[in-house]
Amino acid sequence: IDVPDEHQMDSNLTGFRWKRVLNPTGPQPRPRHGHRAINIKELMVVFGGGNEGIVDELHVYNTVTNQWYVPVLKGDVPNGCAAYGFVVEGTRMFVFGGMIEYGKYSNELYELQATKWEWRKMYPESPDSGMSPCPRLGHSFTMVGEKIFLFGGLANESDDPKNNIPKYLNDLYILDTRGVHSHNGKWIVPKTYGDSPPPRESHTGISFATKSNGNLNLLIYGGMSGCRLGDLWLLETDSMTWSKPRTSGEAPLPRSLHSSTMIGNKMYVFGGWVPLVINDSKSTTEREWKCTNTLAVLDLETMTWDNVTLDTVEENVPRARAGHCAVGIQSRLYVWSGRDGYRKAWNNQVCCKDLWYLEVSKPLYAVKVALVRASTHAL
Amino acid sequence: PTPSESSSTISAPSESSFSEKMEHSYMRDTPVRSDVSNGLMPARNILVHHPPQCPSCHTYPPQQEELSEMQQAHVPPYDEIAAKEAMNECARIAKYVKNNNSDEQDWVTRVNKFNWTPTQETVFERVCTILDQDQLARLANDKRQHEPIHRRISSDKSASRFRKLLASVAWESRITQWIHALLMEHLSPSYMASYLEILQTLKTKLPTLVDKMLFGRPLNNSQELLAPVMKKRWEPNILPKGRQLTHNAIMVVLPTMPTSGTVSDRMQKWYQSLATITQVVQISLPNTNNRIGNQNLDQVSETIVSLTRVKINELRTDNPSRGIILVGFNAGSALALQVALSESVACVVCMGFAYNTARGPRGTPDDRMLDIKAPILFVIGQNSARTSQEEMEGLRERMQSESSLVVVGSADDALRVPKSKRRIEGVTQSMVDYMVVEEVFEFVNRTLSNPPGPRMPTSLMHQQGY
Repeated sequence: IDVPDEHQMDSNLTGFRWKRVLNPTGPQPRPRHGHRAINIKELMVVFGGGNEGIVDELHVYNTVTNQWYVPVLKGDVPNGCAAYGFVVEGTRMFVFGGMIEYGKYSNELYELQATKWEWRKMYPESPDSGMSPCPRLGHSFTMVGEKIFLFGGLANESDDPKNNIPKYLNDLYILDTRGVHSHNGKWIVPKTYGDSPPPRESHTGISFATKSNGNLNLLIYGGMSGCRLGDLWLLETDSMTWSKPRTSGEAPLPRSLHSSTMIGNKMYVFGGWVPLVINDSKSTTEREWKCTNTLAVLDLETMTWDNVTLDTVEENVPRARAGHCAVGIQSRLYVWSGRDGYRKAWNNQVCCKDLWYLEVSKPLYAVKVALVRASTHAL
Repeated sequence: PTPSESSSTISAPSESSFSEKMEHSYMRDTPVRSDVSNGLMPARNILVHHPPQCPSCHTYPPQQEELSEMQQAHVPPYDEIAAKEAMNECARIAKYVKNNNSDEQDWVTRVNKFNWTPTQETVFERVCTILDQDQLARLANDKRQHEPIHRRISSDKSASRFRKLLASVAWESRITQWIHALLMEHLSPSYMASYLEILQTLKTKLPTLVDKMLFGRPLNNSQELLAPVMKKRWEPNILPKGRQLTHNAIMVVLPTMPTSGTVSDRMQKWYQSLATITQVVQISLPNTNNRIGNQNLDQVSETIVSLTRVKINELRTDNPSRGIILVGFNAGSALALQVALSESVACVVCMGFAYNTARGPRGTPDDRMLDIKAPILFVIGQNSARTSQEEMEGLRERMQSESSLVVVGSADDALRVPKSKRRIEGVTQSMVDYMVVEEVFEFVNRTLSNPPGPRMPTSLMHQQGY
């Protein structure tokens, strides 16, 4: 048994310690960015993204056996996509939008059933009034209770993929995939109250319940609209009212292409692009950005920010990155791959190859023995 | 509260296209001409690795290390669970062995060697060695990562040893039937598993000879054990990937030698995998009245070239807008280039191209191949006896056509990768072939969507510069 050194003792006090996962077995996925991951039981399902081309592969990582696995896919297997939306409900996964070719974005919706690893293209019904969401990337696609909320992203107003006319969005849609709409889904344009968040892309959305009344909320954080954003927007989904929550503590630097993950009643914000210097003059564009490996925690009960200082030894924390994926499994935050800043080799950027997890607390509850034996077959 | 408009948008300033290019750059960048000294696409590598760094004598700059990493092809994933199942099939069947030999006892001691001829004794001894070695290999690979691949390699090795042994007795049916009956009677379950897998492998390669060996009269009484032997040689299955060529194109394939009727197994596999890209047309030269035997090589190749041209013209009249992709294998690749001189084709793919030929090296100033304008993909084996990467780079610089080069690590002229290399990399030949086809697809797709024009050959002075 290792005797913890001083460093580890220190970080143990705060309850946070990054750990790099070494030597996973099975077919390793290629490093990339703009991919997404979801969590089913002890599995992390990773799809899409790109580096030297959009990736159409799907990999499953088993956190118990430390093994990557490539399931045999059936059905309408989609082409790859990057910076798309990925949510899970039980064993049904939904994939929406993203970049499918350079300058060409999608508004297609696919379902992946994990029990059979079968893809199905869905043809969602248009909203009763208005249009279905336009093709986009960098949107947030968040499971709030039983419904999926789509917010914002980046669209291309030009028909010519080589000549982009980018347009930041702040439209909100709800996708109903339950009951009569379970086969194809239906888009709903909800009526909202209060000021909606300004347009953005590569922001994050998480959902949580207010402890006092159990009401479900959608929380939008950060993103890009020409400059990096660090604002929080709360949509109370019972009254459909937008508000800007009042926070205490020191807010982290504005960022985009970060990850925000719910574990317990806290939102863990990791990585992304941040401005190199904070612009006091409030100019809308900044010229210099860098990737970060900082971790910020927002307590959703008290709305208090906490910027966590972690191990100062470089090897003990993941490198700065953006466009990575993150999922919460039990009490751990798993982070895989992502792009390592502007670093380039030849004409291509370099992506990280590593898998890390952050132990955020004592395990929330004891891992059931059955989970150890569960595998992809048992889904 | 009052309802608010939730779909307002702002048109982004020009900076966002910068952000889109920089931060959402999921594709391979188009190479910038000035970055490369000769304006050619850098060679792509399949399982080509630098020798390990040796700090006392040589090191690679990290830039170069990363660069070669970027040009590396990716090993395709395979269905591990199905592969393990297939791998264990023979062992599963062998459990039903009805003889009295358990794995605890040495089966060899129970064989009655009375009245054996010296040939029988030698054959038996050598079979024992082969089976022992196969058993050891199985134990060595047990529970290793990529076990099915390692098993496939070791079983192939045992099968080729067995084949060599039977060839040494000229596959004489008296001997082969005797040894088969003897083994079926005496082998213990785990040795039976090895033997059945060897038979399965050999049967795929030499169906007639193995049939003769298995079905001699009288038939022995463990026929049901032979069920897996009747199946095709098992292999880890590569997970299929949709290759969609968005362009209207057809492949015209020139094999390495004139064929009619049966095509070699490997060629058949190439045809099948090329067919995943687009429709494939094979050029075959019927050998009626031993026509090929009566002609010299020049005449035969001229016939094939003109046959190919006729075929291309036919295809063109059928559908004028269809792009023609010429694919040549080995000697066929030289013929494909010959055809490309006189026919306008979308691109040429040369698999296992030979730089050094019986009539000297290619690309000399009078070689008309330098004048071809269609884009060309060369796929060569790193250890090819007729071509080296340096020679190819020199040739590419002198050519007018925009060319790409794919190097298959440790492979020979026919792009076959030796066992030792497959073992190190944990791949099968099919996986390597799959990676080659993937590169062909990338090339074809890129060339068809963005046809490059001819280039200015880099002056001969730079030839040594590579």
